[in-house]
Amino acid sequence: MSAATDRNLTRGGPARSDTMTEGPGRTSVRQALSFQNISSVYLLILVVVVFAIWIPDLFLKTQTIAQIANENAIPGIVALALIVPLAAGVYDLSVGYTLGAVSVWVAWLLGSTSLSPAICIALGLAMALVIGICNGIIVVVMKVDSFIGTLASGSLLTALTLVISGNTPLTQGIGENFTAVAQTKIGQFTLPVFYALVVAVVIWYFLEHRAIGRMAHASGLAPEPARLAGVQVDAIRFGSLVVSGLLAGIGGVLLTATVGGGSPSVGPGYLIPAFAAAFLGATQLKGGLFNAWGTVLAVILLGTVYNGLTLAGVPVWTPFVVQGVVLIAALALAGFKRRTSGGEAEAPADELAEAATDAARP
Amino acid sequence: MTTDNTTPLLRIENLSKTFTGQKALDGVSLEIAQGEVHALLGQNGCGKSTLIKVLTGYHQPDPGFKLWVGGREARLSHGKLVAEDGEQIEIRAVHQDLGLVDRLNAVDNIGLVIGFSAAGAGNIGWREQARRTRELLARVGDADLDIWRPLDQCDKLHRTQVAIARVLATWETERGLVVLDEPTASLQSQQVDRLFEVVDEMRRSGISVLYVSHRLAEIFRIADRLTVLREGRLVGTRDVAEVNHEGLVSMMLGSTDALEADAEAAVAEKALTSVEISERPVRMRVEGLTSRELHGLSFDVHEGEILGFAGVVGSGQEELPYLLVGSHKAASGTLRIGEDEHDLGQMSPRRAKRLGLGLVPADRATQALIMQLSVAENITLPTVSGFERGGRLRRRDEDEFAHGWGKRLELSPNDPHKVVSLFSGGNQQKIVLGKAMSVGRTALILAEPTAGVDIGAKALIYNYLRREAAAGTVMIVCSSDVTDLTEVCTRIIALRSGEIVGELRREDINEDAVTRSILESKKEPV
Repeated sequence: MSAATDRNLTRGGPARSDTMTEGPGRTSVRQALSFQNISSVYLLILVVVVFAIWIPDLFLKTQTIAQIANENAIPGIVALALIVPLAAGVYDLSVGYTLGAVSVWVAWLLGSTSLSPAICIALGLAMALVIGICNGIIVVVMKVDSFIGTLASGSLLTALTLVISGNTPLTQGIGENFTAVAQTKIGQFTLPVFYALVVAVVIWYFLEHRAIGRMAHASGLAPEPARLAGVQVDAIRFGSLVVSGLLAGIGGVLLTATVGGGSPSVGPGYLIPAFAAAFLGATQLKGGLFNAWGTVLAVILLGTVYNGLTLAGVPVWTPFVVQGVVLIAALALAGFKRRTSGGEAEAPADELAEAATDAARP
Repeated sequence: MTTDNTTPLLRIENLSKTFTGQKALDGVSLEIAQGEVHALLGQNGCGKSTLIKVLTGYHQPDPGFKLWVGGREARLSHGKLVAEDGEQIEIRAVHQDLGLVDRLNAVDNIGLVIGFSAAGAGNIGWREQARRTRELLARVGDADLDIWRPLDQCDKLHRTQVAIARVLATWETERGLVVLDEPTASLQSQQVDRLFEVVDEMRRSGISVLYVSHRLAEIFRIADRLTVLREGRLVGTRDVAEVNHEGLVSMMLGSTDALEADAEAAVAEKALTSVEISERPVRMRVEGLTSRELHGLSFDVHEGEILGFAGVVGSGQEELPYLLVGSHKAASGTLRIGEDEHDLGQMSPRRAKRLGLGLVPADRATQALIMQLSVAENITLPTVSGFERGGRLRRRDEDEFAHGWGKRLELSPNDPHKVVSLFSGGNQQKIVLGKAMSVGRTALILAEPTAGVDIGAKALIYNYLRREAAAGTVMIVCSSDVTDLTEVCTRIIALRSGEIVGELRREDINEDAVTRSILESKKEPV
């Protein structure tokens, strides 16, 4: 994770008007560990302390860590799927529906055909790919606003999900050789935890260490300057929607394997937590840019809160309240910090840029 | 206009403003008389914007600040100054971005301020609303505006007039101050004339105007007095009649060194280009460029030439740079570079980049820079793939590259990691130039190269362009700022209604000639 934090932490932080004396690439440890930069880590510590005092016998167990990780691996993959189009400046509101559709599609294939699990998984991912391409066509080629366009495709996917499943959960023919892709454990952790980490590493690598990632961020932050600089904004956005579709599809396959069946109603429930994690994640580490490790941190924080509260036996609605409050607090704090430190003397261009990106942002 | 014996309308005393330890304003005092146009001048970062923001209540000044209205102490309250004895004066600003809702028309924009009058059943009485809108626009000399047309389809002058009308719409006191922040930015010269009539009318009706502009020539035309700030401090207030251009520049810069260097460079450049440019090889040729605004434009650019394009709105001057790099699609036309011919109808920014055409777009904030990213990330954006080695971006190489351009362009501070939004306008423009230069090995295409840049940075940019041209770089400059063209161009083509109507050679170039060439022509516009 240190490589992700090795530079540009000054971004969004208090401006340093003097010339750099430390040499390029150096950021202070104090800045790297500042509350603004990694607020979720401090909040996580706080949350753990609270639960350790509140429900020590239930919470302070080694299984708790594994439990949190295992339960949040698929939501984590969906959140990571989402940051790719968000970084490139388009919404993909269909990720939850994609996950649901692929999940029942794979369950149906397993139950109603004699295809091998490997083929079923491949066909599941093929469907995800097609969904991603359709989203790309809707948003980039047909130039429908991504917010509405992917909402609409989500609606179509809901219909598809109901057609495939016949509006009943599909649990037939889902054998152990298929569920093994998600239920196999290494230590106490199930495989999806490792898949999620691999996805995070891949996204981190491409977003932060490849030219394509820089161009994606440029497309998201300011599409017009990016386009004039010769960046193929449209192609990048198209690609980002294909990636998010594919990753959501992986989530769908893993969901079917984890629960041993496909349910037509679960998909949409993944959307809001994924958005919460993606936006909370953007306030972490990279000062406003969507990034993989910030998202992972956010998933862990939100997951720990949820898990602890469930263990404590609070009413079912409480975790949602806490999640919502944590999210608003984190975002408000980051926004507040940015506004106060951004209000430097004679920086009207800053405000202009803000207005411009606000307008350009999805 | 002298104000010696009368009490000023408004007196600002000991205004300081500190941002995180940095003094943006330091003990500034200033008097504004009733019905005067008072110019506020200084380079970017001198504290002008901060002063305006304090006056409009956006920033809280440091303690010790006092305001006086007509000799009595006053305080700011909801866009008004309230004196001890209860007298109120309005204090309003028209910011550079105008603050209008561009998608809405004039009626809506003004309605947002004055409210919407109700007809029966809670409906808006549009007829009454239109009448009041027309009345207000007539006060700013713009009665002929189509009030139902969305403002983003109106030109800048109309939008400025709507913005001023909006300020006057809710004017409640007899006296007061209107701050005009760079009102003439991107206005053509005859539009500036129209705007000055509006300002004159405001002055006649007893309203004071605090006029902020980088265009010094305008100050001499419109202002009664001027105040210069430098590095947050007051340099002085003068009657406009007392100062000349050079004196004003030295007040703003603090010394005349920069100016002298500038003049020397200009002389050196003249000597250098006295070689007949037309005898040099043609580096780039455009033939039959046709678009919505341009009708079969053809021209050559020679090695080391800075070719300028002058023209009013709609002449094609503004569209030309974007057509050349394929950001706007041309209907047809060819671009010849060396032996190769390229179809301008098929041009795209990506292809232009490959051909070595670097663009400096007209609008820094929305077209050129990504404000949240660092200098290095902005400068390397067009060439970022080239910084990948061994499967990953080499940030150190990027930093070095950006640092190199920063050094060449005297970027200050030359810090590749600093976020570009934190730089002043002039320095931001240098970053834009660096980015364009890094791809512009064939030619550099500049639109409004010094828009919103202070005179210090302007001189640097002009010098830099001359130097690069002398080194053989081909440049095309399209600008509505005549000074841009006269300062750097070795040849100027005047456009009108998409056609060439005149050409000025180096020895004939001066501001009058350029202005005349774009306004007068053999053909009258249809």
